[in-house]
Amino acid sequence: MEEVWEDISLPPLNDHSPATATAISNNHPTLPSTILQDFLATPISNKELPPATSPNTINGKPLAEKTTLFGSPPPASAILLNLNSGSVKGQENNENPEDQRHKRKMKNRESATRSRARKQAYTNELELKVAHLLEENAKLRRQQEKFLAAPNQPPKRNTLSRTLTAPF
Amino acid sequence: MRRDRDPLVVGRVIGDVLDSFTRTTALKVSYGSSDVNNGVELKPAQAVHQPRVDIGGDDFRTFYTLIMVDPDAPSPSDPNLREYLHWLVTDIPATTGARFGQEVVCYESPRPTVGIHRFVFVLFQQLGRQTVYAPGWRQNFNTRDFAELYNLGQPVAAVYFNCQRESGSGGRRAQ
Repeated sequence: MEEVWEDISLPPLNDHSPATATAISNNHPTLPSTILQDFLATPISNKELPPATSPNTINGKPLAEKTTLFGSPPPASAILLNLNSGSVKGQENNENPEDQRHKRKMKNRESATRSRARKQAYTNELELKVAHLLEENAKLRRQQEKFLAAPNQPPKRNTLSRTLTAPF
Repeated sequence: MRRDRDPLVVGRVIGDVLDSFTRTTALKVSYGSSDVNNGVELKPAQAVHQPRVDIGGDDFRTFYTLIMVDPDAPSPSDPNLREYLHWLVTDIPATTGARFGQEVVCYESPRPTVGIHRFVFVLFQQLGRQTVYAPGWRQNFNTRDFAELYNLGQPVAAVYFNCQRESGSGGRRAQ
């Protein structure tokens, strides 16, 4: 199992790439199988990078404990940590104003698209409702006419038609 | 109805939450005197208490599951909690209403903080009476997966409304 991970190159963590990468692959305990989706769904309490320690400590207990805490393959947590560090609002280390402007434009465009979709969806719904109601109305009017034109009185029951039949 | 005119498609409910389906059962949702038609906007104050839900169908022995989700949680521009489960009721007999079913996840009022959210009601027909387990949490619910897990097949009806926070300006910046 370890051999598989050795060949895979992990995304570099901020402070210590090669050491941690090899340490993880060497020291990899048997973990319960978890799919990535399950791992991502659970709230992760500790998303901080492992403290900057020498390669010796990384090989020892602390890392093993950390991986058991997460309960998932370490490479997944490494990828997750990397994602988080890049997108904190306010940090302009990775983005210059140009990127920010572009992002803003894209967000605005998406927002405008949603707004148009919202408006159009409601309009369509109303048009459908109107068409449906007009049809129902027409049908009911036709039924009404039928009943008024040829008065379909229910056959009289339990009534006496002839009252003078006795001979006396 | 042409696929591109369907309000559920235009409003991206089909896409973000559901796949294309055929409506076969009546679904009538109303908050007080406000009927929920696709795309209407309701205020959070109107949706505080669970709505009245009446369903169609024809046989009391057929049961339905009702789901209510918010695919735009916490914000429509960054819906990382999609979908947020607001209500889950199962074993609703045909021709009756949600109050006759089993409330597996109790109704939680919409309280959008950022942006204009869609709140979607989806109705599924069950194969029979079944035990449905509540998910561990409301966020990141997936209606498609849930339907697959409980063999619910495709939805038989769906409707949605829009809602933003009480003091929202419809997404417009204050002048």
